[in-house]
Amino acid sequence: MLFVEFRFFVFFLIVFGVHWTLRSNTARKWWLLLCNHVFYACFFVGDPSVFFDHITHGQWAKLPDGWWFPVVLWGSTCMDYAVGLGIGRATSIAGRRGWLLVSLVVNLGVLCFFKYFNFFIASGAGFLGWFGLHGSLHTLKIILPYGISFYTFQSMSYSIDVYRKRLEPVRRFLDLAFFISFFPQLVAGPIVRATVFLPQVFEKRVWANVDVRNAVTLFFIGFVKKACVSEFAAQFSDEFFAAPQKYTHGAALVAVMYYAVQIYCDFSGYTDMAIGTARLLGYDLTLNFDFPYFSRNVTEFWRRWHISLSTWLRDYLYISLGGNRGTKLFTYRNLMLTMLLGGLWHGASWNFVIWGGIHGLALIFHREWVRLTENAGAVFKRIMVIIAVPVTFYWICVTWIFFRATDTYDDKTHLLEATGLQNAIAALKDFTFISRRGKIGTTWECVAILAALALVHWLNSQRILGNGWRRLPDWAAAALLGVGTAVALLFVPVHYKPFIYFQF
Amino acid sequence: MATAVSPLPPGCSFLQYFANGLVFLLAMAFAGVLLGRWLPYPNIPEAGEKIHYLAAYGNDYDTLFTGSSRVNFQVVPTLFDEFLASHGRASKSFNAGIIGMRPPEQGFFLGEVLRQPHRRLRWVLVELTSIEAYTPPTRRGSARYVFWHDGPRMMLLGTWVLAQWTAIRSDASSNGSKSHWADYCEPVTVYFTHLPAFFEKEMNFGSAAGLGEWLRLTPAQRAKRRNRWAGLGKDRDGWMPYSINETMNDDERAAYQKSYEARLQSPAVQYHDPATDDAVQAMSEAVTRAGATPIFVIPPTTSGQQYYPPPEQARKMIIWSFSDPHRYPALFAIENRVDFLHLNTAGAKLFTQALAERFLELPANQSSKP
Repeated sequence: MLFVEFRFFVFFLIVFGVHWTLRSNTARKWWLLLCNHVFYACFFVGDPSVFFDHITHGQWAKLPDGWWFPVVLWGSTCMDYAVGLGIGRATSIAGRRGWLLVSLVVNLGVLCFFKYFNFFIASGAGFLGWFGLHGSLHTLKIILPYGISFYTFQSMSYSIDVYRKRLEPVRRFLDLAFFISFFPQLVAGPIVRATVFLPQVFEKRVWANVDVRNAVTLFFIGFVKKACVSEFAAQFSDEFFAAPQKYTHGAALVAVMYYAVQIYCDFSGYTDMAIGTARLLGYDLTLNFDFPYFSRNVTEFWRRWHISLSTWLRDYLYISLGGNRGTKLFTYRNLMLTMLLGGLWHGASWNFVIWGGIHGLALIFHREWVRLTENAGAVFKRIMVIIAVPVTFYWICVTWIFFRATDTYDDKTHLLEATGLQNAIAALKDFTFISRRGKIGTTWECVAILAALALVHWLNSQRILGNGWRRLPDWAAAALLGVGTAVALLFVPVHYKPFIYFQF
Repeated sequence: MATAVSPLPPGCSFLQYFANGLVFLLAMAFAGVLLGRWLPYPNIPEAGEKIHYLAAYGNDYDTLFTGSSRVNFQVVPTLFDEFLASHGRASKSFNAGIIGMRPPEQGFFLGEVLRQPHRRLRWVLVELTSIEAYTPPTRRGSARYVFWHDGPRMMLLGTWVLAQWTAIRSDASSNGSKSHWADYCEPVTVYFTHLPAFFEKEMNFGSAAGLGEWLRLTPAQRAKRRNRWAGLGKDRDGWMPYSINETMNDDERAAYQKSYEARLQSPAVQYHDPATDDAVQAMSEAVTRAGATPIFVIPPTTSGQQYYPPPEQARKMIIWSFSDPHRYPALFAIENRVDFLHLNTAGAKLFTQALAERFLELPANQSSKP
């Protein structure tokens, strides 16, 4: 069930109505826990009557793929609940470490098996193939459970925070199960830390504290971003990436920028809807995007893009690896490892590793750049202020080309079908003005729409639109939202594409 | 954008939330209806092409044919015009028939056709066929299906529900039994299957979703695409020959022969229902309002039942029935047919000629136009 589907609105109205009608906090949590699983089940159940018919008749083979997804979710939750209690009761550091190790091994093991098993097998076979060794390595038919990358990281954050004594172990299983499976952020984030969410779980939510206009507006903005802007931008980028060699430099520039718009609006739109939905239920989720395309350097970009993931990687991976507590080389190694693994988190494909790697290199370059230019003159610094944002955005667009280039694996030969990377290289050559082969250009309307989107984004970053909106009386805001919804629905494709971030 | 909206002081009462929700819904509905009036006809395959073509060249035509595949495949406007010309009567006609189009969709499409320029329009030949209220799930959800679900069509479906209830009640009373509530639910269920499409249509779901594709084209490419009337046939008269096998196999021939003999024995049973009566009346009025004369046509079929308006309504209409094997034996000859409902290309040419002959019977100067 996607947030932009009609059935979600019906589902949410029921969830919302019953949630605020119930008086006790425990009853509300039980209710939301049930709803979390109904929401999750909608991704794989198909027709509920057929699904239950198969169950009642014991026709397990006929059940749709993924009927066991909740088992993985519950397994992860139960294990981390036990680990939390174990760490809390352990009297020695070794005991605490042992429990934490269990959590890390099981969580990462499950994630690696479902997400990376075939990738490693295929890559290993490809690697052996270079040496003329053709082993009989077989891939498995594995389906990736929805949201596993997100809830595994949330679950791990709980165990690590309990280990680091930042959090008391949860006594009631319900609280942890509710936190991990909370439906607004279950399948595509943001990755909410246990330290942020669990205190909210313990306290009864109060309707008077819910800022309805804020939450509804956020949901609407997310809806527009995902269902209208992202889908609209995809029409430009999809065609370009299918055959980049056919396009001129100008068209490549516009198409890659449209892809930057697409991926930002797709993911931040989903996050906005998730935050808006959670706020209507009285819960606050972590901010995930802060106008990342207005970053002045790549370090700042990572403070403003997918904030919940980048801070997770910083706090639980980079710092655990030693962070910057060592030599420069040691720090850069940690930075590179974090970005490579962060890239791999996005998907089991080498293009994501390359994407993470070039971001790691850029972060290292930026650190060196800052060191080398800290004593530069005022004129230089003024020039840098002017060009920093466009140059950073251009670099980010270059990296998106690798992010977009997904490779496929041949099931028979286990070899990489490097069509994705070939396309990425062709797109990169066009985008960076290295070669010119294509003839298909762009139109001024495409450029004008891109400029208009950038202007709206800038106005929003300057709080100009938000301030005007806040001053409106409620009825006017409701009317404007109604008109806005009618306009937004014009651009909603009847058949939606899945969210890009669901594949992670 | 998440930080752009600052919190507002809470404290609204339930009534205020309700009022604001109502304002939201009203504004959305109002804006949706306004936008719908301003938006062009969408790029629906075949139907969209015909509408866009008529938008460009509608003023050229004096005669239009509308209906289902029994019009789309079976009326050849070029042949029709040639036949009339050979009898000294000038005509320029266009086939606006669409496969599988029956009321309520037929009325909606006719309305859209008549919204296009039609300065010279004198005659509109409309296939007379009954309402199709139930749409199988496989045929739901297409842009064409969604697009005909406007207010008047939903009213028509409402009339159909009421008519079904009346029929259930009268059936029960004639049998002396009590009707079951589940029987009454069935038409309502059918009505509910149309509601999502009505919402999508009235809210113009995805009407501008293809804008990106259009904007990517250069002005020259757009002009080229505008003039690519693939669904209009090689003569651009809207007629498309059958793309499937035009002959019947032995089983099909046997089945056809049986139905044909039955029609030779006795004509099809005529029936009418209030919803189709209303649909036909609405189409008739729409054509008259457009300044043309409606002519309702019953194509040659061997169906056991045939919709026919009630006498008081039929008296005010021009109805041409070709579903008579005694009067039009060639139209029922097995070599001219694809099945019991359709003619093949050879049959289509004969049917067009028969239509033109009937047309010659009309006075040349008859027109509702001043």
